[in-house]
Amino acid sequence: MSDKVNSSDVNARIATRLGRRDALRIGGLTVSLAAIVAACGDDRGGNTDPGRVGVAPPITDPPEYPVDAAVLLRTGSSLEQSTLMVYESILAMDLLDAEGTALFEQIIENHRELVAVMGELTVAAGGEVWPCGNPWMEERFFVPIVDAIEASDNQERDIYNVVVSLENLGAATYQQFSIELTEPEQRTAMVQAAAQDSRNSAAMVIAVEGTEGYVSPALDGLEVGVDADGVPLQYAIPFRFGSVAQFELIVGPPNEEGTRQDFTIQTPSLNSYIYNELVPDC
Amino acid sequence: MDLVIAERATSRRSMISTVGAAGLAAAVGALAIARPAAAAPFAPTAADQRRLRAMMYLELAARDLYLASLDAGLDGDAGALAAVLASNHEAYGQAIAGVAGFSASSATTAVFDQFESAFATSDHVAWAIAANELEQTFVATHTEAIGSFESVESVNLVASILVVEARASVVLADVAELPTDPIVLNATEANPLELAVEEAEEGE
Repeated sequence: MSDKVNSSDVNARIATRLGRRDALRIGGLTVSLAAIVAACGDDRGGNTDPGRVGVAPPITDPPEYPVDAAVLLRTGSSLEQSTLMVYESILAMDLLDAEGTALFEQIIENHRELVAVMGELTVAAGGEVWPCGNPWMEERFFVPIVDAIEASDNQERDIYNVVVSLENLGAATYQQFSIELTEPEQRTAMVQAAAQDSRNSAAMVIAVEGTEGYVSPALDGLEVGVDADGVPLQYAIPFRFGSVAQFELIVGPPNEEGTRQDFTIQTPSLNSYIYNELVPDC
Repeated sequence: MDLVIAERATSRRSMISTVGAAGLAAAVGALAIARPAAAAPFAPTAADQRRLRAMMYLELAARDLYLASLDAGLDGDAGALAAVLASNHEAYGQAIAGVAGFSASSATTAVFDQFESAFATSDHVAWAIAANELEQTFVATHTEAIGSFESVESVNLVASILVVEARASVVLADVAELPTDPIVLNATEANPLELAVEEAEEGE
């Protein structure tokens, strides 16, 4: 008897064992079982809307409170208080030289004055002065940034980048608020605050970078550089028109893969506004 | 100020840069959200247009002043800075004209006459002192104008201009070797110009 098997016999045997209907039935059963097993899991999270892939943290819906002038001004107060919290933490680290400390203390004094301005405008707008930091922003970047500086392998560089970034954040915030507020004295105060934070930022860059930090290559359409550790460079004049776009801030020590903590800094919005309904707890 | 900063890398790596156009786009986009200013008109009103025309003349006069500095032989870091600031003020004049809906044309202003002799120099320090005063004056002038504007778009544009002029004033103070005192950092001695709205109306 020959060992050779006729190929047509093999096909015939397979066809006998597994018909086309059987294949469809098994395939459908497999998919159904997978769906049941997945549905029985108790550790699922995230959005279940169609089109969402993977597990993501739940999205926090912004509060549905009205936004008026007092809300924006209270938010300005909260931003100033949070900025002061970071700056006082930096001062306590005692890492700046005499010249740097003198400039930094001037900048801190400017923010204390802005606290007073925001408070007066809040009262004038019929609101209640907000005496605390911004809880949403502190949780997501102000407090983690201080922690990252404390753990950093280059604290001086991180302090410099944090101060410039927070001044840029303040400038962008007040530039945006000047558009959103309607009363002349409110708008004027906002652009004065935006100009002040812009000057603070420029002065800090020049104090550290000198002439190399004057003008960003972005004004000539060139890419903005990074330092030897991959941290973006800062410039006194970083753009031709004041920007309110979000930007990145890299702080802290590298992890095992050489990557540093990257914060996306953005101006306050619906999630981080200090609504009139919120009660301070500081 | 003595900080230990990592050396600047010679290689350039692609990264997101926050340039003006993106900033302006984001600012306009932010207006789509319900805000207290929702009741204000978006496009410049007739009164806004008169102020904007006067401001356009100021910006173009500033451009001409910086170009006069370059013609006078200003060079080095100061010359490079003058070229950047001339481009900035040219862009501001163009942007104001675009928002207000008229062509960017230059006009002789008292500002040019006032600053011309101080700008037409190759002396870095003398030039920077004059330019610092000009930028601080512009910031004060634009700040005052913000309170008078009726439309959102006028405020949006002028606010985005004045924050960069504030930065420029600090850079110029450094070139001028001025101390970073309240006069520089807080612009305590800056006074606004009286916008020559009548002159602007004659130029229409």
